Amino acid sequence: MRFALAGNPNGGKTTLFNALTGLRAHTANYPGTTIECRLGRCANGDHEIELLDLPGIYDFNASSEEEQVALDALQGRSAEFGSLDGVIVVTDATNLSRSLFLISQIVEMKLPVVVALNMVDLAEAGGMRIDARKLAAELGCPVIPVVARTGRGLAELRATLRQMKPPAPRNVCGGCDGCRFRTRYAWSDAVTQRCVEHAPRPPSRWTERIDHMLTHPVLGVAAFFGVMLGLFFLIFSLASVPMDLIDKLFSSLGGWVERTLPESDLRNLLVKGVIGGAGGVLVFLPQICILFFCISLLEDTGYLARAAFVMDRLMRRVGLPGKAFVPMLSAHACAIPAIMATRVIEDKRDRLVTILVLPLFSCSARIPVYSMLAALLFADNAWRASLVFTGAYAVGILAAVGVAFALKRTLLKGESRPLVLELPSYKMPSLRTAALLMFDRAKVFLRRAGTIILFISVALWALATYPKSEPPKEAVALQQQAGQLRARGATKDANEAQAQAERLTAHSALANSAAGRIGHYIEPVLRPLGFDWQIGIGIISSFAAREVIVSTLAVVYGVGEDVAEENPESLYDSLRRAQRADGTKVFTTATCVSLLLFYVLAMQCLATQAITRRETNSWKWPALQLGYMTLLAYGAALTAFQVLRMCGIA
Amino acid sequence: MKRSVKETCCASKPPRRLNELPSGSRAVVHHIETAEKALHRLMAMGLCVGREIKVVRQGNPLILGLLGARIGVSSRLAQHVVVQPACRGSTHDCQS
Repeated sequence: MRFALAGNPNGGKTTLFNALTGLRAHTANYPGTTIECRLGRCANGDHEIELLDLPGIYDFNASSEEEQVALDALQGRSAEFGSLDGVIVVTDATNLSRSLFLISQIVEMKLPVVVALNMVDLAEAGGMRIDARKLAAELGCPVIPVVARTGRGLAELRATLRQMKPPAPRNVCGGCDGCRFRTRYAWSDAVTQRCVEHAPRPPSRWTERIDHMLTHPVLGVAAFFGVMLGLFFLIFSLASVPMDLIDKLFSSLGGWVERTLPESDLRNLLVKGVIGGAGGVLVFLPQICILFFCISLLEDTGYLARAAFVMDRLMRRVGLPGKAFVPMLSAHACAIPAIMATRVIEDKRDRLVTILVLPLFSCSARIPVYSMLAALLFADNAWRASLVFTGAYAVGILAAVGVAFALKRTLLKGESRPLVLELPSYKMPSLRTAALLMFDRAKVFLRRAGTIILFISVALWALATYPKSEPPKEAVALQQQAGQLRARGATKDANEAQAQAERLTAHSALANSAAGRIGHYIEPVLRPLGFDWQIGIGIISSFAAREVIVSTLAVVYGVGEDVAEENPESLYDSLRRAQRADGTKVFTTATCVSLLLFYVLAMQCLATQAITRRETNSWKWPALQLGYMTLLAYGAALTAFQVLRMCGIA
Repeated sequence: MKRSVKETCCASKPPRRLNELPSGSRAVVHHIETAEKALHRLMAMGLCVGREIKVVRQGNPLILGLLGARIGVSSRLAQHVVVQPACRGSTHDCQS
């Protein structure tokens, strides 16, 4: 048996779906679109029911993609979702007359229909009594009062699903196609009047007062920034604990494999490619989970709609809807959950523009790079160093706004859809819905993006490892020296020589690998930016994850990965001392500024590309994202370096 | 032609655009000037010729009271909706 859940947005459709299916659900894109439908199963007596959660709609006019999808699915036109045995229309009992508008259209489709009259507890609290039997008689289909949040009435609903039959053929408002809005509303009003006993009770002053503040043009924006600051703080502070844990777990797992397996390419692949890559995927999970848990709670309370409402006016100047603001703020923590959060944006073009510019906002993975360059630029001045950070964040925001503005006027042209947004009543959020959404997003990320990230991590490992080269002569000599020292009992000196030999070996292995050779090949392209081939290796190896450049530079400049991690100052010192072949310094002010701008603007994050591919359903958009960001980064770094050099700041 | 009580009563006031009404006022939809797609959504939410609506908060975007729900609407869209303002606060006042 297959049933679809249909209804207005904010009618509690998702809550009812979750109450019926729980964890036995998954998210699927409706074929050929980026519209999501949730599919789930639940036991019902002896049979199993398959449930399909359709996007929330107001009408069957098919003026939007969601409406088209819902209409197609109800008419059984989608091959993947097949034909339906019936429809459960989820209705907000507190606002029956509006829901009746959609119900009347679904009843006319001649599919077996049951109306789940949701939130009857809130309706009763508001002094409304709905006569379900009378309503069922008016509609010609069963009407079951339920409270999805607590599970009240779900047993009756299940029982009804077992004996569904098509309604008697009827036309609710006798041939009202020409003037469907007016006649249908007259009909809804009349039915409501007959079925609802309304004991008017003054509406809660509290709701009105809170709403007055939260939708205020000034106070509302302030409140929004307060809420977002809190959300941000949660993501940063709470996520760092599990993220560190994942980091430690994977490095100790890598250490264990290193100790147990003999030295071989396989061991290297396992430690650096597979375990490192898997750790690099899982490390994003805490942020994704926290963001979606909080967003679900905010949405459930009804606050998110107010936030989109107050931000709409500001965002329209860029050409984007107010709803684009939450993803843009979350992108400062990480672009991946932010891109996944763009699903709230209804217009396809607006959503694409937002996805394309999100990676320009400075995410937390850029912080190690910014720290390194700030230390190189202003070693002993915390104020100036913090200015570097502020500048980097500002450049990211300005670039994102500018690119969004440009994209809306060129490639993705089109008037943005004017705001029409329901501000639902405030409600207690459901922790269950939030937890289920969180699990779902985590699953989607791991399955769709995780595999791509893992694959390319292994490929990049191979680039930095092959072809292999002999250890350099100095390293061999040092190794022998270490052996002699150890024989004489000078363990400390021996260890030092050994470590030096290892650093030299690592350096030459990387320099002679494919990545090192590519670094040499692309040096002519990078030289106008003030970069040498060693920075080139850093850029290539940090293509998958930008923070990797710090550890790569540590290897390239011979500090050693482990030393750089424990004592960043030693890395900064040797970078400051680093020289080119002609004896000039590598990390001059101009080079540092140029490298900083490059890392603010360049894509350099594989996980983001993978998730963009998954969310846009095409490789075209991640390719465009990579292309324009690389060009932007190259242009900005080039301009900065050349201008600074001309001004004599070298 | 027989006109409804509401319309006759409030006809003394000239029709105005929805984005010009003060906060808290009520009005009856007179006609809608555009066929923009976004208006279909608004109509499916209860904005319909002859029906009473309320301006909860004027501004851009503004908040409309439609069928017991609050809807945020950009004023660019609202300017295409021409309404007949209620005489005082509510149209019910006109009937007495």
